[in-house]
Amino acid sequence: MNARIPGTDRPTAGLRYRQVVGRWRLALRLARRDLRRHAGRAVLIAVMVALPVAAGSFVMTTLESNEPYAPADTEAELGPGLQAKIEGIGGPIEQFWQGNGSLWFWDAVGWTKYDSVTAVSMPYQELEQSIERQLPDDDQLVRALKGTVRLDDGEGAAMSVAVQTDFAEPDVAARFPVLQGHLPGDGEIAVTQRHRDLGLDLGDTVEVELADGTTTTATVSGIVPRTIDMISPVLLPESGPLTPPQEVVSRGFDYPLWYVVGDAPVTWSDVQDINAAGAFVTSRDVLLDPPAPVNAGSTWSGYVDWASLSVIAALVLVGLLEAVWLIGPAFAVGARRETRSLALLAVNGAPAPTLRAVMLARGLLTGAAGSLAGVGLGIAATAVLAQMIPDRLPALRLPVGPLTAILLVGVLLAVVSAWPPARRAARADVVTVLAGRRPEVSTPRWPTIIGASAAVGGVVLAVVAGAQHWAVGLSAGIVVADLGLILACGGIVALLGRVAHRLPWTWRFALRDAARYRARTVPAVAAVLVAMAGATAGLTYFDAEKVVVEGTPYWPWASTGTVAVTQGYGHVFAEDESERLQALVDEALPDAGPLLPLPVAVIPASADNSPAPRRELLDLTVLPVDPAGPDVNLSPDFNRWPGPVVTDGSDRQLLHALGIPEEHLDDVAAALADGRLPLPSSHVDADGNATVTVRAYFDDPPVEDRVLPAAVVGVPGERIRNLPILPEALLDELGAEPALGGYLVENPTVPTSEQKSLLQTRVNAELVGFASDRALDVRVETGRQPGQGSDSLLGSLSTPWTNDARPIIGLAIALAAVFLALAGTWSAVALSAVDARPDLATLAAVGAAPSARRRVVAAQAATISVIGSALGLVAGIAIGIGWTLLSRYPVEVPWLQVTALAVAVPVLATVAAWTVTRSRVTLTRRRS
Amino acid sequence: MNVPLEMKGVTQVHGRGANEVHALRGIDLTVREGELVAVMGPSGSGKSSLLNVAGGLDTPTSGSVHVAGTDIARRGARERAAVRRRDVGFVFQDLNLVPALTALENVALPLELDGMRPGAARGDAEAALAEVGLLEAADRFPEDLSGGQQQRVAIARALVGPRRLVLADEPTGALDSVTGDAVIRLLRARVDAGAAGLLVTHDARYAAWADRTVHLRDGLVEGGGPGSDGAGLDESGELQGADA
Repeated sequence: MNARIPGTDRPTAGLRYRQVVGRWRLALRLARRDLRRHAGRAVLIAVMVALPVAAGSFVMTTLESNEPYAPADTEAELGPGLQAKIEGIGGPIEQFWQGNGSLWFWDAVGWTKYDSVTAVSMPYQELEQSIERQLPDDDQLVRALKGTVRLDDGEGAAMSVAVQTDFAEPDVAARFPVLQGHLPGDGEIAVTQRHRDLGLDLGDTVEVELADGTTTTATVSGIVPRTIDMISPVLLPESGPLTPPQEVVSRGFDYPLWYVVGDAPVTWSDVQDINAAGAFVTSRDVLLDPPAPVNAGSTWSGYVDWASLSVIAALVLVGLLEAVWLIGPAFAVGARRETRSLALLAVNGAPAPTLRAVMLARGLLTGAAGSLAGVGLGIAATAVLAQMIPDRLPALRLPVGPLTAILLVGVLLAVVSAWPPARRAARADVVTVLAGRRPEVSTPRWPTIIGASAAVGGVVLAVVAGAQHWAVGLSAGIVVADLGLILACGGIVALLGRVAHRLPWTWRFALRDAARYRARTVPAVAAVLVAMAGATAGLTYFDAEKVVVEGTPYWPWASTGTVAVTQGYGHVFAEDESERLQALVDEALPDAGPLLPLPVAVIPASADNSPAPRRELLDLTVLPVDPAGPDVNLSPDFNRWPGPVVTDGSDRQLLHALGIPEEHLDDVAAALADGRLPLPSSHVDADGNATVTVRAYFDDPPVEDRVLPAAVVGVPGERIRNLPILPEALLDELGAEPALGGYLVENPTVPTSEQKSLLQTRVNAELVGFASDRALDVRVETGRQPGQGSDSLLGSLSTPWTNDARPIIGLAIALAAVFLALAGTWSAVALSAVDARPDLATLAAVGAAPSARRRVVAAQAATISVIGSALGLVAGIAIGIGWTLLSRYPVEVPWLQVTALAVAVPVLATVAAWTVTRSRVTLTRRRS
Repeated sequence: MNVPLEMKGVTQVHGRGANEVHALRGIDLTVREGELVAVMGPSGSGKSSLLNVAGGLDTPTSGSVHVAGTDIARRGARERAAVRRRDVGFVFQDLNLVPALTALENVALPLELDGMRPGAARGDAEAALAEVGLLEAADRFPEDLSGGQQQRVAIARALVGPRRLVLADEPTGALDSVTGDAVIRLLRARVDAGAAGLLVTHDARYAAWADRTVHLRDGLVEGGGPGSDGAGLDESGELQGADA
């Protein structure tokens, strides 16, 4: 066989291919045996790869499983056998199998196109027949009616959505798994766990009231879980009591429902036909085999939050780099131990790519093992979570694409970590190694220069981008600064090595050793650096946020624990419902005080017979005396009540419930009794008057400035949330009249969420009932509470944490930083112990004390951790400042905490290295 | 037919200026098929440098080094590696074998690296192991072999497949005299079977197994100036067969 190109010594393509195959066969064989021989090190690397992979897999699997509408959720929505679920809209629509931007919206029936749903209607029978005509021949329609019912067991009542269908149909029955009992037959109903929490249980007899007022009694036959599409439905048997509507009206709430049973799938074409007939379809076939997007113009890209994505990308990138720095030294240990074997391979004709392949194969195998374990771990964690919160994660679904990508990233992580040792091994001088001498270290200057420049540039970019509120720039700055510092680490270490001549011999030894073996020192310094930078940036940001949060005054709208029951925005009560409401309050809040009607001032309007008449509201704004001063306008809180509270001051309990501070109660009551507006001094002029802008809230101007009598009840600049309260005596002057704006109840403690939920349920059942145009809100004044989440990740990242959580977060950051920094330091120190063995033997031979070894190892740990901490501290503070500026917070560096961290890491690393060396546990094991 | 090794005017200088060290000063040396040449000399005389340059592990500062007709002094690392896979085998004092490979895999290593199919490489390696009498140890790892057996495996690897030049650097240095004798006897036998050998040794007893001996001192062939291949010492061949 002639494997050379004729006339040359060059191999043919076939030979080159066989050489490459032979190279990797050998590399993988050596790697496999190396991992078996050094299982401890292999497991350590695999674990370091597995942890980030497990985290990523967990997040992706959880997100995928949490997706509300996706193929694997078909069973949750359609059970094991239904072909489709159809909901009548009453007019032709265009549906998309999944949501797709603002043109599409999620309403009671699924994703529908907003402008497709117009106020149309059609007879129920006609719609049902039209749908039946569009179905495949082998399928049948099973009617299911939806409606709102009121359940009353004599002790309490609740409003619920009800579904009435034929549970004798096996596929329909399978759609509603039963937790306890059985599906309803004649004279029975099934309820959800939620109803049981409210007091209904198996065997209870309840009165079922329909919207038309008809009632029937039924026995609770079963408990069913919440469902993905109807939350907490009451299930009714086919026999009633719901009856089909005459008309199906779009924009309604209780769309009629049908289930499709049979063998034929409902295809996308069928779905479009049924859409045209006036119904929305959730089809198993479509969910499992989605059609191509019907509207290519509407894509998610318009909704991508690039700022949030850039922050995520930066965090992931820095996190992966941290993992690389932590894993790298472990490979370097292996490479160092295998130096002679690699040299022997070279002697026998292995070129540099083969030597690199030998080391990379180790990364490949450990990375693959670690990644597989990590993916398995992540999926298992999601499975456990799904057991704990089945409502949120109804079905475990594996995102194959993302999981594969994560797996590959894990493998790549290990291969990239193995690359520097592989490169060094391939470049090592064979003769030097075979002679038992240490390879010479080349020290190019360009990485230091480029790295330092990038570090400075990155820090400047981060701070400037932060000040300009440019999240992408901040993220880029963070990454560039980190990479630059890491690149410059080698030069910094070398510089310190050169200036070590005045130090004691242990420090001199450690610094020069670090400089000489930069290959293992730099990853360790980088690991400490990144961990410290992250921690310092986090602490800086959270400290600034703390200042903002603590500096932001909290304005309660009532005294703590007070419960308000109000109408929707701008509505007042048409009649006094205090008697009925008092009974509900007594049931839900047994310790509460009396119900306090809340009078508000409104502009008289024509008679309105609706249960929640909407009046023209009186918008009253008190201007500060000094328009240029720091004090702002005072207005009634329209988010709470439909107008300024009006009283003559005699009801001290009402004033107290409104949250007027105790020290101002007398003054406020006196002012109101005197017909004056109670105000802080900043809003009352020298003549005892206040300038008030009066206008009708919903109408356009005229706006009128009025001068009204006022009385001082607070110091300048003091804000009392519910001021101004309007004295009854001024109503006539303003052309207003009192109306019932809501009710207040003072509770000695903040009601629990269960109490609030119970009161809301009872209020809905007793006061709202089937009135679809009325809503009653139960609200509780809880005092200062955690900040609410934001709609973007960036927002949620910058959402203020609670005072309670802040110390825990700070501690978690500090502990994570300490852990990562120590891991990085110790791995390098362990490697250094291997390299320094001949030197230490020499030292012992020339009479160094037995403690010399410990002192050297401790000094090496100190060298790495001090350099990493110092650089990380500087970078972290700069990045933290950028992040803080991005969030428009004032810059506040927590010097005490970051200094403590910067001191604690080196001290811990040094002390622990000293201790471990003496005990000969970790370091000696690594050396074997 | 190409001569297995032909070195002409080979010099090697390490360092610069005050640190300049002349490891080799104009060496001429030829090793023909069926010839075993011993190299002797004090420490630092350039013996190992000579061997490294001859095997392409290192490059000379000047001169030519022809291995099987290829001047490896003018070739890059990749081509020199190819020469080591096909034409040259090394045997060192100890730790000759890759610990993670069995004896057979160690012998097959240069063939596999050169792209030979695994089955064929294995066949050639078995033949080479059989020639050194260690076929039964084919599947053992180096740690399960004695020092002498390891050196025999190394000799088998040095001459596996098409390789015809073995460069041995103190191959008996870590062995007792009985085992050392056996290893040298094996080396001699392999050379007699058609290979060529360059043997670096401190021990005149082992040098006596060579066809001729070259003495090095300070990078020069003793008894001859630059350009000498020790031809004047050919008479040392009279030592040949002293023990044979």
